[in-house]
Amino acid sequence: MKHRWAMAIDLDRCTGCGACVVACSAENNIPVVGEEEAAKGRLMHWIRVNRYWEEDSPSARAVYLPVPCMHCERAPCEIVCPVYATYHNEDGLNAMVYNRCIGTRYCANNCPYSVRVFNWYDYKWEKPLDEQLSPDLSVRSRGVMEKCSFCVQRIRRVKDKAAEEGRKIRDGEVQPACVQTCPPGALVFGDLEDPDSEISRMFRDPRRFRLFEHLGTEPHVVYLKRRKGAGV
Amino acid sequence: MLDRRNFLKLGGATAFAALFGGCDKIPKKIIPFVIPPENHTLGEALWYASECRQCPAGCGIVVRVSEGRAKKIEGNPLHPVNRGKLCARGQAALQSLYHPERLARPFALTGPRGSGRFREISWEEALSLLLGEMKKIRGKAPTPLLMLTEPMRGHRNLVAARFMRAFGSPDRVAWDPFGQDAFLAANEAVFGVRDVPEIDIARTRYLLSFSGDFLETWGSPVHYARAYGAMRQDRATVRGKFVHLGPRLSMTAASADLFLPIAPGTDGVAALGIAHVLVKEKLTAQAIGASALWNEGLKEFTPEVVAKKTGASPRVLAYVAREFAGNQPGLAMAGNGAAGCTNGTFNLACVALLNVLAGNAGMPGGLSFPNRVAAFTRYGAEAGLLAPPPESGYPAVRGAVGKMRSGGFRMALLSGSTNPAFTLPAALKFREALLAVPFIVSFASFLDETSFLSDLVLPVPTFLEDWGDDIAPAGHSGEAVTLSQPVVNAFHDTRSMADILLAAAKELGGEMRRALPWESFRECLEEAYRGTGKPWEDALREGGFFSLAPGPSRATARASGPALPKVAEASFEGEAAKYPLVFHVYPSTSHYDGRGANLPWLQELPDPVSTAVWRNWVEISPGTAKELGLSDGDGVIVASPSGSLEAFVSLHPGVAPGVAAMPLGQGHSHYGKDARDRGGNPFSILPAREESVARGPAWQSTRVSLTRAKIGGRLVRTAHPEGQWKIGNVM
Amino acid sequence: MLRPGPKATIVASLLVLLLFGASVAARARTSQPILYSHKVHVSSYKIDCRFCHTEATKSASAGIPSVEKCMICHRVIAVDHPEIKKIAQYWKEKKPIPWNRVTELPDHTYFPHKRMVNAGVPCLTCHPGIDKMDVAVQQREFTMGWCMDCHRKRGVSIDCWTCHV
Repeated sequence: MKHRWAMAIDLDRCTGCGACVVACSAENNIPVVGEEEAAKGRLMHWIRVNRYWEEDSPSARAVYLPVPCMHCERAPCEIVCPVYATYHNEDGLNAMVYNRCIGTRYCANNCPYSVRVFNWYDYKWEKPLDEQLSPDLSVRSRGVMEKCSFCVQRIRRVKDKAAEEGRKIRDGEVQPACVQTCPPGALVFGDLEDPDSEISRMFRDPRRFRLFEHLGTEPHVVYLKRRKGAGV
Repeated sequence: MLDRRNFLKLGGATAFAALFGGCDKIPKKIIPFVIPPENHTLGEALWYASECRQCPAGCGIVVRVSEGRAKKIEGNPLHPVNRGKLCARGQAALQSLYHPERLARPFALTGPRGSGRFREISWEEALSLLLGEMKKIRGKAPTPLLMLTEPMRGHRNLVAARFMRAFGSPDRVAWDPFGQDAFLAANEAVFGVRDVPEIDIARTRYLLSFSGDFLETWGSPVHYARAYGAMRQDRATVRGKFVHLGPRLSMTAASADLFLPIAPGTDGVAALGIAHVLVKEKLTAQAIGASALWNEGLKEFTPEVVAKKTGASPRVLAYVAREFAGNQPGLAMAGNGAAGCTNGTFNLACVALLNVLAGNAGMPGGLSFPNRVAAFTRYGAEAGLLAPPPESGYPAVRGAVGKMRSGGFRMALLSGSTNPAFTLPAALKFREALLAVPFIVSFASFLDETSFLSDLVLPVPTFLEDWGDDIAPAGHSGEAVTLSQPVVNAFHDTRSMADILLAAAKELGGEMRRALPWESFRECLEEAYRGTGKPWEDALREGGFFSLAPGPSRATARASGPALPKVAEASFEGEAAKYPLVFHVYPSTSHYDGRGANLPWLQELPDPVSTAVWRNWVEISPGTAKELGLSDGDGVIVASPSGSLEAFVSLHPGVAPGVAAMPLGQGHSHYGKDARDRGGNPFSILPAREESVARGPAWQSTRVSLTRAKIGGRLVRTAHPEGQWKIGNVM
Repeated sequence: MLRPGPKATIVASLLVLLLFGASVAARARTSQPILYSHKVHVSSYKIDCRFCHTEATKSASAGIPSVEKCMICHRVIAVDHPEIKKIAQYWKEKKPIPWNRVTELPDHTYFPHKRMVNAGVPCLTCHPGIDKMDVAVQQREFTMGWCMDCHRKRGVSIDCWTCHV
């Protein structure tokens, strides 16, 4: 069964609340780095919410842009890894294999979206915070790159279940942590191989655009432009 | 010198180390069950439904539990308030359960108060201390016992209320720094109902927000955020428009199509300006019939007059009024920024008036006043105890502080996340008053500013390990009651406050035992919900009862027609010459009232507006900064007539001129290493003033000055100083 | 500078050899709290693997039988045997038997037993000769190459993320 996982982010719904960021941290064993490291730009969030100001005036508006890994079809990170630790898997995901990574950080250097984060230290979870760690995926050690995986552990769980029950995966059954928790429902996830899925519909939406489209990375994440309200 | 002999020695030593170091096949244990639980598949997680208590909204949650450990919290898809969605605060609550600094057993003070010298004691000793003191002060009513908690919910509130009543103590105070006093008074004046309404954002076409913060912290943020998403994109041909007026571009306002900065405290006047246009131009059916309103004084509030007071453009105000009328159903809402001024009730009543003129009461896309405790009429007068009191309790808190100071209490029972020593203004001198009470008991999970001052600290479970029931303050119409259950076994040796009160009542006997006859709080709940038609186990599995019969909506239109609210102007403490900026404070999206500040995930979550992490900051506009000679990132002393604190400047183009804004919730002095020493606590420099009508805390009623100073540390923000202006680069 | 004499060098070398030997021995023969013999139960009494390792078809982990499972038979069978008496003692005290892990995969590998077992891969493929062992020993070195050979032969996924997440 072939899949092509993709995400759509509706900027007309996103309120910038950051629930996706914390949900992702909880789901994916992401360490907390502290103020010192945050000052060096070393926050380990796999999804971040960028805030832009639209005008420098008293009626300025802020625009929020959640940025997960784009899982580019033509990923700049994949071609520069000297040990093939990151590659494009059969489901269209950009996979990161922690055991292979030797920490050259070329991939992060080449990523135009800056979505890759590096484990500069062996981050510790002070006991008993480690009780919360998810058993479904690794806790990465020092010297290893990591990034959003579209919650591959959830994709795998659903695939297993569907295989056991002898059926296809239903649209909306796979929900990464960020998608599941988003209160205004700005994040949508699904399989582009299914032409009737909601994600396929959103990939055809006239409001769609992709980040840095001109670079030709062909991201699997599409944004829907925020509308302007009629009037003044 | 490396000769052959040394080389071999070195080689041998290295090999030896390598072998020894590589000997990691030390046997690990693999422990089976003694008796395996039924229907349990190894490694498969179980999901338990419960309720989140990281803010008063009361969203339903389901928690993934694997091998007896809670791994992930998600929204409960069956729950009417949040329907499977959950905010950042709820997601972070796991860190509260497994927090390294949680209180694991009872503590008794051994040194002077505030010294931090406690010794661990057993529950037997703790309970005997507690009961010993209770027996000492028990006598003729009124007994000198104070109970100061957060607004308690469901049957916990009932148990606490009955306890105090049977004990003969009238001093039960519930403190909520963001209580809805002004909203209640305004709704009573305008709609005749003293309650928080249901607001149908999802089906409205035009949302007018006056300092509203409903997408971040006010009311039921997840519920409103979900409705907001629906308002925007759920309907094929209608996209709701959102206009926000206020002194600051908050996270909520950032989503608005139009942001109109207005001076602090002028939300009511701005609303009247819009109402003026509605009535003058006869734009809605209700506006046509509002001649009484017009003659009472609405005719004075022309857009030009309003523009002078608020700073908004008259042309834009008029335009918004016409658009509002032309896109019905329209809905007007207000938030903490409007309610917390000294004229909060006036502001909110004017906003409520817009809803009356829009005729949206009881309509889809408007507001309604359901009876949320309809399912509990059998409780009679006590039914109201089961819904969380929406008031702040500020007058009662002030009264209690006065009584404490004058020695009126011999014992105080403190509990809850609202941490009065942190969330009350220093000017109220709560700490000094509390220290006058001979015996202080805290029911707490952490040593925060309040529990730190206690003589006896009794550790309570976090909400993930606790029983409870709750009627959410918004997001349903009385058909839903949420149940909480422990999703894991108690991680530490804790007992819930309700269970301790029940045990105390049993020990004290007599009338107390009659009022509280249950052996445990769980038993109390099971008994309360017997006979509801739904099996208890089913309700626990689903997270509550979601199909109770809702009562009829309560009357909303006053027979006499809308009246003009009594005009009041906001007043701010401090002369403008010495304190040039109006201080605008708002609950932080991460920390709310401070309860989230000890959770690393929330400290590390960049603030949606300033993108700051791990520290406090003060926002001013670039224009204001220029006037004051301040730059982005400067350290300043923020001084009000009531106190001062240190903070870093974060420039914010959406703050009205003459305003300085700070989030509330950061600035702890206790509460754990992640919460401590992260900047000053803005609560402490607020004045101890009341809103003039409803008497809730008037948080937005002081002026401040900003003086550059050299302070330790620096503000870490994730936004790029130049890139954040260049949205054209990405879209 | 340290200059141990020839005697010290010999002693040091012997010590190294001894420790090396011990580590190999430790690897080869993990001692268990109770001398459970797979040979007796599987070869002699023909008990199916899944009777005790019940979770193999349902879970990622095959599971170790609970004390209750042992007692199903040993409530009446061989009750006087000293090892069986140990089981009875654990049962009486309602304490789990603290087995020492024998078979272990390298770190960062996700291995779901149920997928293997339900696909019809025989237990002896990865646990060869276990049915004839008195003391359980891990015979296979689970190298990635060995796993991949079988995956390729059977035409199942060789995507890295199937096993390494």
